[in-house]
Amino acid sequence: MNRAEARIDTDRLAINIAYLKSSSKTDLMAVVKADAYGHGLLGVGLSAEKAGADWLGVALLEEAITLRTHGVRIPILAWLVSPGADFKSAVDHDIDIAVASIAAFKEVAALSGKPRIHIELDTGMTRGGFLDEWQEFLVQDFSTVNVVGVFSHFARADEPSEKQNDEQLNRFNHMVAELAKIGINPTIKHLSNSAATLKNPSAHFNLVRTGISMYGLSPDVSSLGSSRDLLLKPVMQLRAKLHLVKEVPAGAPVGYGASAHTTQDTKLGVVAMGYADGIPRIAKNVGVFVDGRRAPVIGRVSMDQFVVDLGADSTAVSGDWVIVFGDGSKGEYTADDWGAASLSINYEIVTRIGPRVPRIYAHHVY
Amino acid sequence: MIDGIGIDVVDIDRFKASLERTPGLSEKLFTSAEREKPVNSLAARFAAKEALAKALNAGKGLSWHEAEVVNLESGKPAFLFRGEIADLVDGAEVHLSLSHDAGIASAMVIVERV
Repeated sequence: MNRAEARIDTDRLAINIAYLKSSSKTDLMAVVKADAYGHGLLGVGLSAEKAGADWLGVALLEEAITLRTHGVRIPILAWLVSPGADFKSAVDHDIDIAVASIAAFKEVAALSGKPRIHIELDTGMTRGGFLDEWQEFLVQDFSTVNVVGVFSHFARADEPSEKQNDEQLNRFNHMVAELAKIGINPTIKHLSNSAATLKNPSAHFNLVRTGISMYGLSPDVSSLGSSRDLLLKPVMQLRAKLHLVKEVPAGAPVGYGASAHTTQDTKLGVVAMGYADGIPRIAKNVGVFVDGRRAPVIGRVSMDQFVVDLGADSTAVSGDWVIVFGDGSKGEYTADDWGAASLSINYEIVTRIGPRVPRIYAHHVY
Repeated sequence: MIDGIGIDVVDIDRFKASLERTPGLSEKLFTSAEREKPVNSLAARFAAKEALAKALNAGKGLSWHEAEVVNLESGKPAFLFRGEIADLVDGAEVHLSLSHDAGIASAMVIVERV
């Protein structure tokens, strides 16, 4: 029996994919980097393909190869593959590679087999992609590669009224036109992340890349609203076992550093997850849902366990499941709550769930 | 708990005749993705939307495009909600089952709220 599980609802994943595709009216790239945002690379990658995703997107070449060798047939793009990488294995596994520097381009272009590349443009985020090297790049020899796509990434798509979004879109269109002038017309142009997929149709082109929204989470709770506001369904429910329940008098110090004390006679529950499993050590004003109500964290989160205040009249017993986070529909905490409670965001909460926590896949988790 | 149920049946041949007879009816009732389906699937989708309106206790005037029916990889159908219908659904769990046989398409909807 597991002491903790991240339960992944594949019907909800499919519903989110269908909703996002129906909204964008374009092809959809399911972004499954970082172990599918903690939801499990293969479980999600294979489910997303079945659910109608047209592409899979990852950061690393090894993520792409894992997907391909486990049966994924749709195109896969890996966009963080640095010079010196084993580009030949990308060609061998029919994986599209993002090229963001002349150094990488030269290595890829030297390979046989017409490597499939996507040109990454820095349109204003000042992270990956061509910026200053652009003119030099335009005079390279493209005859040995297949330029499948051209793409860029928004820095502020979750703030739809920011003018940087328009500036990046304009720069993208300008750079695409410069490519066309030298005879390079990639079939696929992609610029939209989740937030732009939901809020900026002018940036959809013919492919959108959806990560966080596909997992049913809001790209930015404060600017765009919650999952529910965005009509997305959270895919993951994280639950853990109550290792034990104990009655504790008022004034008892709890946990390392005695950072909290019980304020009255109560029942405490020890939850069998800790920061080694991705529970943020600094989490405050958050907790678990058990016995029909919320039980807040008390004291510091330890490596493998944390303590919650169940309340004196709780009927919870050791061995009960507690929901660490879910979709909030029953009153449970959400990944959004855990993000806010740890000075972070929902992305980090789900992505950092540790490898000791099994991912369980079912059509219905909720 | 169950907040509403709805059921509806559609005569597939009559529905097909209506679609053929009435210009723009298919566009009015179905999203572009739904319109790619064969007519018996469309009849079932129409039944689903009628059953949904009953389950939500909604009056006339809802946009048919705001409740799109999709098939999940598990084979199960599901609704995608938008706009006013999404507001009415308000986060409820909506279960949908479709069937067709003997020239009839039918749908059943259950709205479940915590």
